[in-house]
Amino acid sequence: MTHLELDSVKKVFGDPEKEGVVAVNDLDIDVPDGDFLVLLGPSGCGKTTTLRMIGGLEDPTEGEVRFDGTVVNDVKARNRDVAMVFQDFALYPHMTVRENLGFGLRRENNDMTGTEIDERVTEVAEMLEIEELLNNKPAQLSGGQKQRVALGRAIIREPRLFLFDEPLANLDAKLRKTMRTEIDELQSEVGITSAYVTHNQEEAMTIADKIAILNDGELQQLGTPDQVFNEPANLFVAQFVGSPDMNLFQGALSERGDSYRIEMDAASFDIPKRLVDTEIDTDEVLVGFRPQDLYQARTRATNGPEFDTQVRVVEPVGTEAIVHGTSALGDVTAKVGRFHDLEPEDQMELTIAPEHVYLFDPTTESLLKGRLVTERAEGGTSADSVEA
Amino acid sequence: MSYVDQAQSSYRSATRYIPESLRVYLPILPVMALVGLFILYPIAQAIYSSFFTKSLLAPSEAEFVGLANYVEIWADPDIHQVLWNTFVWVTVGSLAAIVLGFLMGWLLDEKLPYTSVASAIVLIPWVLPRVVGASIWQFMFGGSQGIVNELLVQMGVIDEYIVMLGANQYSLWPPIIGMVWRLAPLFALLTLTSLQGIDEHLYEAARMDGATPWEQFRYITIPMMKYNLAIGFLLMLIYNVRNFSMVWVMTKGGPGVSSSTLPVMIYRAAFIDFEVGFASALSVLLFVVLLVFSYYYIKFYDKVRGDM
Repeated sequence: MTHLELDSVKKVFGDPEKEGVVAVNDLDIDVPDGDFLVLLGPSGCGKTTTLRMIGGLEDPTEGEVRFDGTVVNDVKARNRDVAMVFQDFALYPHMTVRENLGFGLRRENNDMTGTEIDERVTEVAEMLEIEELLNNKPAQLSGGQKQRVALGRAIIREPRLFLFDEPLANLDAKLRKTMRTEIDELQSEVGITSAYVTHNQEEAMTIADKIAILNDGELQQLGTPDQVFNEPANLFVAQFVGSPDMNLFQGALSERGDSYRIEMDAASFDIPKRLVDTEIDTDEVLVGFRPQDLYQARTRATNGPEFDTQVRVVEPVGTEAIVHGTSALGDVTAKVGRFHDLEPEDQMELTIAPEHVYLFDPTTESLLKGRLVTERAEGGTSADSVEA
Repeated sequence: MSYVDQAQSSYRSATRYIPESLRVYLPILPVMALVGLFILYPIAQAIYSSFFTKSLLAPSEAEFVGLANYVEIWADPDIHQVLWNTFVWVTVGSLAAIVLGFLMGWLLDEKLPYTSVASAIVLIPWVLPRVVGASIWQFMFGGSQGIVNELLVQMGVIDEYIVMLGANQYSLWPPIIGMVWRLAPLFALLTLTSLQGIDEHLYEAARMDGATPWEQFRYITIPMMKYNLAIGFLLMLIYNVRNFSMVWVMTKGGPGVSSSTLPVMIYRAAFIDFEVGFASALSVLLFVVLLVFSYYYIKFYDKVRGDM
């Protein structure tokens, strides 16, 4: 059980004085005891480097890594009592599953006898349902089985921290979902503080207590999955999180009494000021619509903009469909219900509630207005109607 | 119809008068002919010759003597010295080459400056023509001008120059040293490639599992390399058993037979004493020793390939 802190951590590869590559820059992350942190970002954003610095496989160039307030920068990886699951599993190929699981226990300077280690190995193997594989070599295992052994090797030592480096990337889609749930359950069960690296935002959203989104070595946002989805700190986070991608349009903003007036190429609408937390002093904005927040105007009325869209492609995903279309605003993607009568070339009218609209500053790309979750938005609407 | 099908059918029509059972061997006939001519025939000839007394000066006067040549080997006053020398060569020479080669390979794997240049330089002893390498060592150990003597005097190991290549008690060792110099780079290269073949993540996993550098070496490096090392070890044995040039150039096996090994004795018997039958019997003996080593070499090689 460990409280993990990264304090102004910086990592430069190569010569910092000359042409060093800054992999991680000035990173502050605080992970409370028992929390599940996901480091999310595109390739090369520094997330794996960060994980390796926590594990002691890389030394930070500057800053401090602390476990429960104690600086561990100079503690060797083998003495940190941290377990790591690798993307390629890194099982010892010349050892049986039993030896793989027991390896860490045998290395630790504890008082466990051979029999006690064997018992513990069996216990963990039963927990992960791999007890019949104990005498196999890794080469004889399937991807999912290797993954379980890798997890077992981490769990068995009851470490202070779990580190996961894209542990599901080498598995097929179905197995990935099962293992994701298993890792989540396992972590809650043992309650060990965890850091998990992935570039898959869906994986991050489902598994994390907190998500740290990195880009080019810089922390973009640290927040709960809800926060990064609804109140992304900036345009990068907004575009990286959520699927399909957010629709973005240019807009002009002006104040009009209690509202901001947003004017776009083919639509304009008002956003009541009480839906906006920040003071907006720019007259150009980027307007973001999440595909999930767009509705067909015939199914739901809103106070927001309505715009005609010509359907290009309909991709059914069960009860809803992802519709790609061309509107007067530009290309648009919407995730809508009632799609069975939609066909390419059809016209439909899309709309979005003002509380769901995102606004960004086009120069700084920082968030001006986030997406209000339904409760607050609906509360606002009812208050509105009372006032009226 | 694919090219393979076309090729198959045209092969069938071209060979339609040959029975099916023979037809399948036809494509490998050229290789079989070469192997038979240059490998199997000489072996058979050597074994056949070993049952005759035959002089190179009068080959037509060969006389069948059965196993007499083999009996003569056993009775030969020199054979025990020669076999002992060969044994020393194979054990001491191979072990020294392995230890030295392993250390060199290990160093080359470290991310030190100039390692790529160093790994090219290290190979020079191995790629140098054998006689050239042997001559260099003969020059260094030889006579009154040898640099080895000079170095030993300057280091204070000896007081004055000593005769090395021409003295019974020393003559075995200089050629072994030369051979270690020649073989260690090969083993270094084997070590280097098998070290580089080990997934870096295994070391990281071991570090996370709490393994010290020694434990990483003991539980990851050595087990991961063991087949390569075993094959390297067998190669060293085979090279040392059949080495001829290093001894011949440096000492000619002398003085007496003090530095002779089996290949040197064979050469002497065949081309100095012209006793082809006796030389053939010795060759058969060497052949059997090599066959044993080769058997294990192939067995290990298959195992390594099976494990991969």
